[in-house]
Amino acid sequence: MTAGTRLPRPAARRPRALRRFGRNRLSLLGAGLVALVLALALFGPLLAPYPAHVAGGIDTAARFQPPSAAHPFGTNELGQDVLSLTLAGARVSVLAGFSVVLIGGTTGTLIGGIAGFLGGWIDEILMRLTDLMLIVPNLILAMTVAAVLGPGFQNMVLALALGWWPGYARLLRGEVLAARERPHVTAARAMGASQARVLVRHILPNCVSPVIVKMSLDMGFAILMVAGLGFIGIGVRPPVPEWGTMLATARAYMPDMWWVAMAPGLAIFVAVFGFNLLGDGLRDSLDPRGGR
Amino acid sequence: MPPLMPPLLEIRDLHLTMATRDGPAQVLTGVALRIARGEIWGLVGESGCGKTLTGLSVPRLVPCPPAHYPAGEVRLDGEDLMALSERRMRALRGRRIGMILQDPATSLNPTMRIGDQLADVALAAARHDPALLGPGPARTAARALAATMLDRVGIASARQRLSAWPHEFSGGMRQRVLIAMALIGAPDLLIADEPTSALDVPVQAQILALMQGMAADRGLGMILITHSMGVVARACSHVAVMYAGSIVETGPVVEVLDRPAHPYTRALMAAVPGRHTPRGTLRALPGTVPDLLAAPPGCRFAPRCPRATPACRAARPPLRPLGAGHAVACAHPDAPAHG
Repeated sequence: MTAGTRLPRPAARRPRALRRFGRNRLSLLGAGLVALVLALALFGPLLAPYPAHVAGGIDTAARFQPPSAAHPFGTNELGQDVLSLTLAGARVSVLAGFSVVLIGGTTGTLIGGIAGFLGGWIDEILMRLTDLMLIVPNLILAMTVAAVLGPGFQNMVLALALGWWPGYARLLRGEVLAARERPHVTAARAMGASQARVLVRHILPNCVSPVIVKMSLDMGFAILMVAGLGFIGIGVRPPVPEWGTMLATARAYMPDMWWVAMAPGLAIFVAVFGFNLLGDGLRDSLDPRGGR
Repeated sequence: MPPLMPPLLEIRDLHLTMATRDGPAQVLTGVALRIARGEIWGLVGESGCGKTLTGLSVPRLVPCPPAHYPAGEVRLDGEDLMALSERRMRALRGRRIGMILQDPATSLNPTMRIGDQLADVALAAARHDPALLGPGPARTAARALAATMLDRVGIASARQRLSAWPHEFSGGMRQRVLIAMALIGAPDLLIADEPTSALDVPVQAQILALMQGMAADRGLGMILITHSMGVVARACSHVAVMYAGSIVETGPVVEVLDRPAHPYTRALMAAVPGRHTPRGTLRALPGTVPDLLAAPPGCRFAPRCPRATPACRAARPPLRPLGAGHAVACAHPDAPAHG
C-alpha cells in the first residue's frame, strides 16, 4: 500500500519549509554532521582500519601508543586502535538513541493523542500518569531499571524509553487539543467519519511537525544518555565498542594518555551537536512562529 | 391540508442552551422549519443569531456539553434525529445529510490528497448504501466516483486532480471540492453554511448556480445559511429570517421579499443596495443582537424595533400565518397587501 506509507506532513508548508531550512547555514551543518554520524553507524565497522580490534582482539605489545600515522587516535590500554573502536561505536550509539526516541516517541504520541482526543477522565488519568513519570529524573530511572534488568543493549533501550515518552505525551496532547478544533475535523465528522478515522487521518497527521522536531532534538540527548549509561557501566558491555564505556575506561589513564578519551568524546560531541543543530533548523523551518 | 408524507426535514420547537462561564445562554429558542425535497431554503440573519448552530444541530455536530437541548425535535423523513444513537447518527452523516461548513479555505484536510478525502467519504457512505459505488474493488470504485463528482462540479481534468493537495486549489475550487464531497454520498438534504461568503463575486454566482443545478438534478432539500438577502433572492425558493435564536418570518421568497411583514426583515432588506436605491436611503439597523445571557422576556427584537409597544416586551409573539405559506412572529406586522 503506497498511499499509507507516504510521510504525512502538512504539504502546504513543505516546499517553503525546505527553502527556509536551506537558507540556514547552521541547519545545513547539522544535517551534514547527522549524515556523517548515520554513515558511520551504517559503514563504521567496514571503515575501521583494524577490524580485528573491533571484534575484541588485543595487541598488548602496542599499548598506549600516542597518535601516529598507523593509529591516528592512538591505541588504548589493550593496544586496540581507538579510531577503529570509535568508528564501530557509532553503530551502538545511533541505534540505541534511535530506538529510544522511536519507542518513546511512538508510545508518548499514542498516549498523548488519545488523552487529548478523548478528554474527560481518560485524559485525567493518562496525564497524571505522565506527570508522575516526569517527576522522576530520566537518568536515575534508567539507571534503576537497567540495574534491575541487568546490562545489555535491549535492557538499556527499554530503560531509557520508559522515561522518554512523557515529553511526547504532553506535546501531543496539546497539539491534538488545538487540532481537533480545526474546521476540517468538524467537516470530516459531518461527512460521517468515525472517531478512530478522525484521530488517525485528520488530527494526528496535522501534529507530526513538532514531533519530528522533538525527535531530532531528542536524538542528541538520547545518544548522550546512552553514553552516560555506558560510562557508569550499565550499558553495553565490552568487547562491544561503545563511546560511553570507552570514555569510562579511558578516564583512569587521564591526563597522561589523553588520546584514549579524545576520539570517543569527540564523537559524542559531534553526534549530539549535529542532531541539535538539525532539530533547531527543522523547528525554525517547520514552525516559523517561534521556538519553545 | 395536512401532508400525508412527513416532510424531508422538520425542525420543531428546537431549543439550545449553551453553558458559558457567565451562565447558560439561550441560543436557540423554538426554531421551527419544514423543508420538502426540491426546496432551497435560505436561512438569513445577523451574525450570532443562531443560523450556524441551527444548521449544525441537524446532523448533531454541536458538542454537548457545552451545548444542551432542553426541548425540540429534528425529524428527517419522520425519524427523530435527536433520539438516535451516535452510531446511527453517524450513518446518516455524509450519506443522507450533506454538509458544507463555513470556510472553504480550512474545511479540507491539508495533509490528504483531494482524491483520498473524497474517496474516504464515498467509502464511509457506501458502508450504509453499497449501491452507491459501481462494481469492482471498493477503493477503485470510490476513486472513480470521486473523479465523476469533481467533473460534475466543474473541475477540469478531474482524474488528474485527484492526486492534488488542497493548497494547490483556489478558494472557488476548494468550495467546488467541498460541494462534491457533500454530495458524493448522494444525500437527500444538503446544509450549506455561508457557501459563498468567502469567495469573489463572480465565483459566488458560479457556485450558487452550481448548487441550484445539483439540487434540481437530485431533488435535494437544501438549507442555505447566509447573511445576504441577495443570495436568498438569487438562489432560494423559501426563506426563514432568524433573529436572536428563533425564526421571526418565513415563507416563499417571492412572498417574503415582496411583502416583508416583520420589521427586522424590512430592516435587513433596507440594508441591501438595489439597482434603484437612491443615494442616502441605504439604512443600517441601529443596535446589536441582544445579550443571550439576559435576553428580554418578550419579543427579542423589541429593544431595536421602531414599533415596539409594552405588550411586545411582555410576551413573545408566536409565528402566525399570513397566507400563501407566509408566517411572521410579530405583534404589529406590516399587513401584506395580498392580491
